[in-house]
Amino acid sequence: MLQLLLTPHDGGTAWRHALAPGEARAGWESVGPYGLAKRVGRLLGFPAEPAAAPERVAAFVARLDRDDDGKRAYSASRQADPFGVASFLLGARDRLRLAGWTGAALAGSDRLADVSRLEARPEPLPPGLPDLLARLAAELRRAGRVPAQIAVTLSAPREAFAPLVLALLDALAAAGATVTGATPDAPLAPAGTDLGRLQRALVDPRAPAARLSGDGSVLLLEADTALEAAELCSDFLRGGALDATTLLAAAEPDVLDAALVRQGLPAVGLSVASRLRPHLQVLPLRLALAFSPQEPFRAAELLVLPGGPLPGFARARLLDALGEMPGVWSPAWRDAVAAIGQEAARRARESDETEADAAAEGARLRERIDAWFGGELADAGVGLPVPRAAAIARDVAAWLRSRAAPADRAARGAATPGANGDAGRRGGDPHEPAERGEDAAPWAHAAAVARTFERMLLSRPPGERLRPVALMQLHALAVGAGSERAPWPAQAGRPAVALLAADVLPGARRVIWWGFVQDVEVGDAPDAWSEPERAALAAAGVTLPAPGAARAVEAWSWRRVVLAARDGVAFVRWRLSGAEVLQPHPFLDELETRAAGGSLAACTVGSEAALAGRAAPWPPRTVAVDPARPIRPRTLWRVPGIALSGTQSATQLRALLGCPFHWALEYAGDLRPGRALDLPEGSQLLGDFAHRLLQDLLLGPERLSLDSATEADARARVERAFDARVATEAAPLVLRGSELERERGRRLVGRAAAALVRHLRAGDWVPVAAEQELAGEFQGHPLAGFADLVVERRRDGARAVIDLKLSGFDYRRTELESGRGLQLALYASMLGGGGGRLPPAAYLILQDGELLTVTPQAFPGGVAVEGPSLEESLSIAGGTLALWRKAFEAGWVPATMRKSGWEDDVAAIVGPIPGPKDPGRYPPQCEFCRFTALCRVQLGAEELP
Amino acid sequence: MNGDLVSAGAGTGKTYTLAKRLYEELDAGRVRPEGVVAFTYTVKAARELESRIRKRLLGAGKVELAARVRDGYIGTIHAVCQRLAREFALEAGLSPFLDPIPEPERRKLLALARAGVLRGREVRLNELAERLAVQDWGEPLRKVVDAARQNGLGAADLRASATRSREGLLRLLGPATLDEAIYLAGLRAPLAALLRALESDAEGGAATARERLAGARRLEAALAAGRRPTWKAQVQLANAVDMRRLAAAAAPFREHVARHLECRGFHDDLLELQRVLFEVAADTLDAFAEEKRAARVVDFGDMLALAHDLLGRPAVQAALRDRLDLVLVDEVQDISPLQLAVVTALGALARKSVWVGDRKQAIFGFQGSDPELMTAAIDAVLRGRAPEILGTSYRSRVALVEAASELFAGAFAGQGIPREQVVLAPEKPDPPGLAGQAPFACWRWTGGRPRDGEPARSEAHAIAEAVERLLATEPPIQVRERVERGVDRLRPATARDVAVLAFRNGRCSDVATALRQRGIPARVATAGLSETPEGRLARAAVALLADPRDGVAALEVSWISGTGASDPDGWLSRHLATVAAWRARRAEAVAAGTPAPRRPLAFADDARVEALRAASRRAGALSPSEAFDLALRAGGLPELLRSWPEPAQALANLEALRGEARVYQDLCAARRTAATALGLVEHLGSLAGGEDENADRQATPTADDAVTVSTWHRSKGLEWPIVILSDLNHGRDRSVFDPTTVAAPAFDFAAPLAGRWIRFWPWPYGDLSKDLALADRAAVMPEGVEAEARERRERVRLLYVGFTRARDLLGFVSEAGSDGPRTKALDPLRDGAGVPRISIPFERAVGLAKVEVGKAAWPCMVGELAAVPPGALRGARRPAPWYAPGPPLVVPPEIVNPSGEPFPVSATVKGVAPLGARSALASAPDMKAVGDAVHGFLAADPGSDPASRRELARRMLDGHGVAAALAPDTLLAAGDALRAWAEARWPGATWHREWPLRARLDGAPPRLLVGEADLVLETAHGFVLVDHKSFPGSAAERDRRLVEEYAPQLAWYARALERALGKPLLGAFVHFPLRAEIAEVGLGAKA
Ligand code: SF4
Repeated sequence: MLQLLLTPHDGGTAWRHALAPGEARAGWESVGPYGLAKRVGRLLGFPAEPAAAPERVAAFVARLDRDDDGKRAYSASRQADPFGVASFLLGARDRLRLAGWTGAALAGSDRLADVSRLEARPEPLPPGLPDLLARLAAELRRAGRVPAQIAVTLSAPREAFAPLVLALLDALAAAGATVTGATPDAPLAPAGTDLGRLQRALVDPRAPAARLSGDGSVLLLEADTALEAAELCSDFLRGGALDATTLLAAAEPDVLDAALVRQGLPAVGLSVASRLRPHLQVLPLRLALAFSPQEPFRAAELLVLPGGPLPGFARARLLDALGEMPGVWSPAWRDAVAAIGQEAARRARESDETEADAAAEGARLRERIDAWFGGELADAGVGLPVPRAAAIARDVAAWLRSRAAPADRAARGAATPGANGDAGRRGGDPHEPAERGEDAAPWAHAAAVARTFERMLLSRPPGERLRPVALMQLHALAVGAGSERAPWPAQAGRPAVALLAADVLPGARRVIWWGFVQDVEVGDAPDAWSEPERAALAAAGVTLPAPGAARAVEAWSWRRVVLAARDGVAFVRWRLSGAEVLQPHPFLDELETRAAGGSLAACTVGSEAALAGRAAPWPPRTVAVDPARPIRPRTLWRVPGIALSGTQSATQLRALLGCPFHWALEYAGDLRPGRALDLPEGSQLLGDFAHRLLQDLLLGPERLSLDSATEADARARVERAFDARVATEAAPLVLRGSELERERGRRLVGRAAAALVRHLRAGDWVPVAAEQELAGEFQGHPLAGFADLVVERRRDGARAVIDLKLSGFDYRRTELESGRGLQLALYASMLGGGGGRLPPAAYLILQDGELLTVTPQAFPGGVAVEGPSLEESLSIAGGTLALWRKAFEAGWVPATMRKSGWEDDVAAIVGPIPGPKDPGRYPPQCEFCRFTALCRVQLGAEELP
Repeated sequence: MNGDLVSAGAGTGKTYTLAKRLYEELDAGRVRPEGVVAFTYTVKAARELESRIRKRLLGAGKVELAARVRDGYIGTIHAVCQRLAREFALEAGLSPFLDPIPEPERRKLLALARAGVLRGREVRLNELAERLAVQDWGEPLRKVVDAARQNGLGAADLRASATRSREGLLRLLGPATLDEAIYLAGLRAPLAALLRALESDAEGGAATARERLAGARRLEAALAAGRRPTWKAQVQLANAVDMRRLAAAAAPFREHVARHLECRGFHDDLLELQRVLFEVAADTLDAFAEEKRAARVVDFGDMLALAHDLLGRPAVQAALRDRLDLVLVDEVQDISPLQLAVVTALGALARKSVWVGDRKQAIFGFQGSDPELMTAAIDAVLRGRAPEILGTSYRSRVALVEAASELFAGAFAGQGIPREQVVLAPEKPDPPGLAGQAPFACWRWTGGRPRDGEPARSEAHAIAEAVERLLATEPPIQVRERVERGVDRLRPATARDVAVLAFRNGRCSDVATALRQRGIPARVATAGLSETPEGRLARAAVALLADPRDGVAALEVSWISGTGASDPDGWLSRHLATVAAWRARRAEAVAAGTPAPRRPLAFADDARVEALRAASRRAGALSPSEAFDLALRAGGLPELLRSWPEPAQALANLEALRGEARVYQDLCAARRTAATALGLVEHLGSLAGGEDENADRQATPTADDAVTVSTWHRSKGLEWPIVILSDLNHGRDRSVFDPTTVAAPAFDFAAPLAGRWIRFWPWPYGDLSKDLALADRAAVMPEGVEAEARERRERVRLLYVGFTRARDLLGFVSEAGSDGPRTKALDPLRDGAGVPRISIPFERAVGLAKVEVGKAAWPCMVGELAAVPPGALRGARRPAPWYAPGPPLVVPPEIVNPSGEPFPVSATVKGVAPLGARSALASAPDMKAVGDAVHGFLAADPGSDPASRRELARRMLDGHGVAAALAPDTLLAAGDALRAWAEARWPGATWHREWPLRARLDGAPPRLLVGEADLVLETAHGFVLVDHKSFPGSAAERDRRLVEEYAPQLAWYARALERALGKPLLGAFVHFPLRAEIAEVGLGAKA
């Protein structure tokens, strides 16, 4: 005898309460529609596994391809979303099939006609659940008897099951099986309790509303956030009887689990699906890189993806290259690839490989980079040929499989049995990362997705080309809901789990509805069929539900949660989702209506009140968290032992002069930011690119001859170079939408080139070096840096430095006027070898084509800035540096964002501090500082201890 | 359209009436729940309406109807339009999975479109904008584009708007009679004279004098260099020198500059900018539409246009005519023109429409609604009938109702709103307990520059002080609390009863900060989420999770979480010492030529930092929002935040940040880009200062006893016992020079959008607004008069909203100026003669005075405030309770894994019996599929009827894709052999194939066994357990597997079966169909 308890859906362990502790049953199981089909299929000898959704959609797309003559009801929509339309029509077809449609021709509307014509097409369609159910029912009818004794008991009213499921049940009954309907829900709790009263009021809408006393058998647990609600709920669950509890986890199961684990309770271990796991993003990124222009940002994303396709050192090197020149296959990228090859070979040699093997290792890695980032590129406007896309998918799938394999071995032994249970079946210590032994699953899943995607592509006509949008739409179908993952194992001792309200079974002592919030446990609005369509469907034997029928079942299922409990029911809700207010679940309306005179308020426990020791019918277990000490921005730190050591750059010194604290953290404290996705863009991108173009114009292999070239030549030449190099070295500028920026940049560089030539000529200068490494010392400290442009005067061989700046004419002018042109002064000092008169120096502001200098005699035609000489600037800076050094020696480090609060203390030790308008008072560079947390964050208004 | 209108003044029970009306229609069967379309202004209002209707139906026992409410179209107009667009996606040629793209993506696509359009035009636009001191020409451009979309205007309409705008601008400017070259040449001499005067004026003079001189010099330099100075610079200087001591020198200059209005260059600049901006706007509209088409997306704004378009199609109309019974529109006064078009189109299909609203509360003109258009539409609906008026205030106490009625009856008379639509009657007399409590209060504070050492005074601090005093009043201020409909009780006021209204968001934030400084919790919908301490901490935590070597993130986590709070210097010194020591070791290693030590991880001595680093190992498989949650958990943020001041706010913000993580994911999905934890860190970092006003918002905790601080606009629809109106010196903020939608002269119900166009006149003087002849000219033009009147009307309506929010006490705060209280915001409440309709006793002596409106007067408390920040709070905060953690639980998984978990059994191979000849397998088939096919066959093998058995075998092999690997006869033979073997040994036994087993296992913790026995042979005395294994390999490997892998599973199953059947195990066997043998396994108890 086989006894089946049929629930409206598959999954969960709510059936657990049907068994007494210690009880075992043979020949008994709880199944949903899939489980039923599978079981009957086994008995009859029919494999009853539905095909995967993407496979079915792909097959349906093929039908649409043949059927679409451009005049179908769906034709226009197909232009917008070919795969979405297929998925939509297939969904409609499956729903009609579940409602009893046999595939007969349909009239009533164009779309119905489309659906029925598509059904008749010869292209194969892998079976879905409706197909399996229909086939099994037909087989039963044909066989006339079931091969074994079967009794099916429904756990819910017949309306909760699709007509086709009911048809299978009818066929089973006709073939000799016993099919028993569900016992109507009846109150299980004693009438003297809140729960008993509420159950009675719910069962009979005509009965008087229940007056609830707040005895704890009905609870509405609330908090502002899911995080806090989870803590409240866990604390409530700590009261015991977990194994006699059913949990309906309607939303955010992982948040509840986190709280359960924190409070030392068994994790429920439900999994959550996501399409955005790193593993699932490898393929779309690789596909995005198959289009031209290649977006450097996509390349960077692929490089930072956890577990991505290259070794860490190679990824870091390539990311650096993108940071230097944001373009895949830029010169910096090529250099990086070469260096990576060498590094791989070196590592191989270090692990005792032969020279040949080491070289091969390097070559292999270079090839791998080529495979991931190279290959023939397709024009995004034209599309990627389907065979090429499929080949990419195949390669990525192969890599994903190989990525899964080693982890798979590690994870072996954690195999899961296949049976009617919920998804999470791991065990062990929840504080140990569940992920450790489990890396294989997501990779393997991603590989399967890539394979599915490949198959979907191969079902397309081979001559077809897919544009990025269409490719991603198709990929989204292959990914479906994404990959499942449970952050914790489903631990022994956890409550029984119902995945949907309709599957809660009577008999648990307590039922908890976690996630009693709007929009969960609420079905979509029914298909909107017109009257003629309804008539046509009825004529074709399709049982469309009456208006509101689905809602009636839904409302029944909500009531079931209350009626299933013997001792208590609790609804847990939170009031915020993001920054928005989240409404409670609509069932609250019924609860409020069936509880007399607002008496549900007596059952409501807010976390705020519970924590304050009010309102909870159980004693919450709390700890007192001591108030955090106030945090205030500090203007003066007492940190002994800081000294200016090592070689300094102009940037470092500027930071130090502006804010010793900034310097101390960044350089003495070696505090660096982590990896980031911020490739240069905007002015930084253009500035870097313009630097290279102008430097190459003057000093590159095909340099301009200053003797013969005109300003117009310079302009034309640099604009040509801009056009030739922009796609690889500043690729963001060739992406769609950057046209304007590119146009601006090109104009700017052209104008700057003309200006540069003009200024050089005017001063009789010729360029001699770009990015020249300079070294020197400042106030006894070693100094180093790279000068943008070193020029030499023809007539006397004197040298000068020109520093290129994209913009900021006013800023630089003020800087020079006030004697704070530190960078120019330091470069001049290094170029001049220190001591004596400094060589001339100037800023060239590319945007305006203006040259700013305090040595106008050296740069006729430049803007003469009236300000201290470079020597004076150095001396001013030296004075400030000496002050801060003294402060360091005394163990004081001021943070200078605020103008007061530190000066007097520091002045007492180091002597007078330059006033805010003094040249020696360099303003702090707070807007570029990474340490604003220490200078801005304030916590607590109370007095500091 | 068959429509009714309900006019519902403030506090008259509008939602109640709506729900009641709908209930009655449903109850009477005149309307089906699925046939209801109800538009509300907010999502919250939609939920509330739905909930009220459902409750009414449930209360009346109409359970079935109540359940169906959900299927109606109740929601914001966008949501309903989206549903319609989805339902009719095929008709509209849209994707059936239509989802509007997130706002940042919309902006990105718009920018893409605009970038293309601006190519070749930008340089000229920039030149014009510079000449006309237009800081950012993108701003008017955006406004024109937005207005076009709100009004359903296309590119051609914008081009027509350009023509009409030009015509207006030409009228404004008058004839151009002066050539620019002549004008500029004529400017030099008066400027030179002025310069001389300014130079002597500036000598040793004040900073303003020096500024004037600098301005004149710049002007002179520009003229000398042959550049055209900006019009603003000229006018600004002319205005700046308008003073008696400079009169003689300035007069010629000022007179000449005044002539710029006739200058052709000035006219040309304005007209060209106007033309180019309209051209760009029109092209942008087209390009944006194309951009979205290419990306196959729609935006939020498209929903309305799509729905409007759909509703014009006969097929859709026919379908909806069947379905729709009632169209209900809430807050009808606030809908935009395009929304109106949708509403009327739907109304034409439904049997009936009911519009509910209050013209007096139409305050969203700045967001594109058009109260004038709505008035016309309402008149058209009413067709001369009077609206139904809800005339009872259920909200406010008597004095407040009377005062608002009296005040606004006069103020609205000018707007053509009859007295009966303004005056309300209070529901009932005040309770006696309120008799001695004044219904009004006002406070003044004095601004001005602080003297040395004094703190700066501000209105925010004044308000905070007022609230502090109110809440500390003895005896306490009483407020009414509604116990149930019609029944109130009095209780002392607490913070949650108070709301402060200000006009600007920034002011709201200031007030909230000032309140908090006094230890008064404040609830404010404010931005700046990512810069809150919790925002920064959470971002740093996830950054550290994404990259454990991120030193800056480690620093932030450690500092903000308070590790260094008790000894900041020591905290930082320790870190610096660690780095210094590492550097020294590194130097030694370099010197010695040995490998350099690894760079130490920053703040590794901080447990929280290390916990995050440890967690980063687990983040590799997570989506960004999961990684974010993991960072919160690993960093113990919820617990930590409990220790902070205002923990409820901080925790609510944590949820807001989680919301941002979801937004980031949605954005990535819409952009079809990768979503990574690092990307999330970037996203969170980019929130501050972004363009999206919906981003970076802090959450508002709901359960705190906190003062609400809100803008006047956002207060609409809400009420509080005590309301303080502030920011009363806020003036007008719109002018005739803003892009404005102009309505058609007459409203056509059939085509509500017809004849609308956009007027835009560029403003040439940047931020200057005073003493400008052009503005004066514009003000007297019909357009200017109309704009001014419109603005004034809307401000009156906003004042009405503010004045009607309070239930029990209405307060005002104003700065006391030298010439009286600074209450510019109340100017629209003056009568035709300029006399204020309301007199608030700001200047009276502290104590009791009266608020007066006309001849009526009501008591008002008067107070004076210092308006300075409080000193630091004294005394430590108290510990905050939080849920206690528990010890880690180490237990096995709930569901036993029979083949993977050891069972205390000593397994032996008792014997292996051959069952026939071994079958041949084709090379390397998928063994799992082979196994499934074999199991499938053996489970269903009927044992007789060779034809159907062969058919079954074939079906199984085909179904599992292994037909090439195995012949059907192999399966038949295996089935025969097994049957023969079993029947020989246990004749008459009952066969259970693929038999489900379920067991709740004893012991602690309780576990479950979920499995399926391949074959159980049940006899009267016991049972035999047989497991099929398709393993085809060697005998040695078979024996190993039998003992190590198969035996535990057999043992688990045997244990469950013994329980279930109450009989003993007679034997446990493993059947190898491909090896054609059966092995008996001994399952002895383990020693
Ligand atoms: S934020 Fe400003 S004051 Fe603070 S460390 Fe950085 S530069 Fe210095």
